[in-house]
Amino acid sequence: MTIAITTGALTKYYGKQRGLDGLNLEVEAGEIYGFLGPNGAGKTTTIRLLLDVLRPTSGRAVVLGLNPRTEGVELRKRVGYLPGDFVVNGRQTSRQLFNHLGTLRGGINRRYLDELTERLGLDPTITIRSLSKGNRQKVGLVQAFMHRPELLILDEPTSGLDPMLQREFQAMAKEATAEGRTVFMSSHVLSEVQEVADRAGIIREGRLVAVDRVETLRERSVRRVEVVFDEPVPAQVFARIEGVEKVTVEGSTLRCQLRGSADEFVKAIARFGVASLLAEEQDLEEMFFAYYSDEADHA
Amino acid sequence: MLEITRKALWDQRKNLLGWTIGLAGATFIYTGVYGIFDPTEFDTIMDSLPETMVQAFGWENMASPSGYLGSTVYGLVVPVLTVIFAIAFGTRLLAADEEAGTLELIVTYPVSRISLVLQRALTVAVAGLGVATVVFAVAALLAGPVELEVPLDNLLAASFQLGLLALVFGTLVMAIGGFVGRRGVVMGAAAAVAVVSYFGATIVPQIAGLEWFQNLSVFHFYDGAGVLEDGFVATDALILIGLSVILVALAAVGFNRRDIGTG
Repeated sequence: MTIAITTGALTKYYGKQRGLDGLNLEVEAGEIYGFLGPNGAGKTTTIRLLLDVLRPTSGRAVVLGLNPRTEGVELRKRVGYLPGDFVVNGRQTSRQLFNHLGTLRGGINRRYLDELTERLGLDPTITIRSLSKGNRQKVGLVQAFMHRPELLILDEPTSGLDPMLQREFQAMAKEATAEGRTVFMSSHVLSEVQEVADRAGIIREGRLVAVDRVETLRERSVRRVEVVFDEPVPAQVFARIEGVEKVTVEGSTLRCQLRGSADEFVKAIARFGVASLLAEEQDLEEMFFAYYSDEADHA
Repeated sequence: MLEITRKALWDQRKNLLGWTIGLAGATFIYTGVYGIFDPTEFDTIMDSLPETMVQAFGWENMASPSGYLGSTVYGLVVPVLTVIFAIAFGTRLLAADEEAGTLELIVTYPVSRISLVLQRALTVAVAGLGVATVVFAVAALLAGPVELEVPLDNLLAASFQLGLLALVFGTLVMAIGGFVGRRGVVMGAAAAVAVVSYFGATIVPQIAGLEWFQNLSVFHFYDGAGVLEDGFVATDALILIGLSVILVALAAVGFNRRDIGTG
């Protein structure tokens, strides 16, 4: 097993303000790694450190076997990067931008570039500033993928993309790893990475607090569920089910939290007439606490 | 090679065109006006002004063709406009680019920070010498029709000095931008240097005991009026070039050692 990214006690302070506090990260070559955390947790700081945009206060990072600090040019040849806030000069078409960026990389594979723009439905002849936010995000994705890099570092890649394009992106990421390349992507919502990532790490207040297979995280994650029935229902029927917590019933409306498998719960509600069903993913902060209370239970 | 220079010039083409038209226009008007006045009238006007003021602005030889050009096109309007242009242009190339967030993507490409600064500095040099060439062309073409007899090599030398003036201020903002990625800070600091420098070459040396101050002024080494009168001064040009080289080196050192995009 080769390692694509490893950091040791990577720390970044902006003056006195904490950016990253002793991060130990390990991303294997050929996997899709979801880097999860609420806004301000240090995801973007980490990514910028890996690319030598920022310089660490202390600690070290090794990316593709190289030191971003001293071997940055060599490293960045082999990396495709999508910034979290993708801004470029708007007074140019994406084609002009791709030509420029391709030249900086020493050449362009036109056929692959056309394939990417077609696939994402991006018209490269339109001036960037007249593109919608979603279309600008496509420009960012294309420039990250266009040289088939060994490592893709993507900061919130699916933000602004509609669900169909999110799936297209997921397919692109999976194809990259099928070719043995690595994807490191950040997100502040689990649902965006759970479909695609192999493993995920959760970062909170500048520290990595959990790393696990995505299935495990999903099993442990809690959904908020609201079911409206055709008629009033008894609460105790649902409270008994394993993984169902905090049950409240008001007339014909059931509210509860569901952890792990939904199978038994779905079968239980199916015995009544279901008028509507809503299941919401909890936010990461809640998930983190759920994760840890679970760890404590198992200990 | 030089893709960053090429792209910067291309991105700034409209901006550059605007400034070129402005500077060409100012040169055209001031040079063209020469044909309208009776040179002897200048002497009358100059005699009525305070002597120190006349000296400060280099108006002693207003009536002679080179004196006229030296006190107008190459003395005040065009150099001041050129410096404003250089400050604005150089700021766009580094600090404003960083503040807008557009620089982040480029530094994550396989380009070293030093190469980035050097290529952008080359952009400043091309733009500065480019506008100076246009000023030269306008003045040279118009000099004949309005009977402004100035040796062509002196005109060329003064225009070259103008280009170097732009280079110094353009690289000055890059040097500051190398350390501080904030547009307002960079422009403010450079403007302060420009103002001190301008008065340091004009007003301050008129004060007894402060003549030495002009040696700290970029405008003193630019000296377009003197060059028009007496020809190219290699040491002055070399000082401006050397200063630009130092400033570019500072820009590269500063930019290479810090975080990008954190203000």
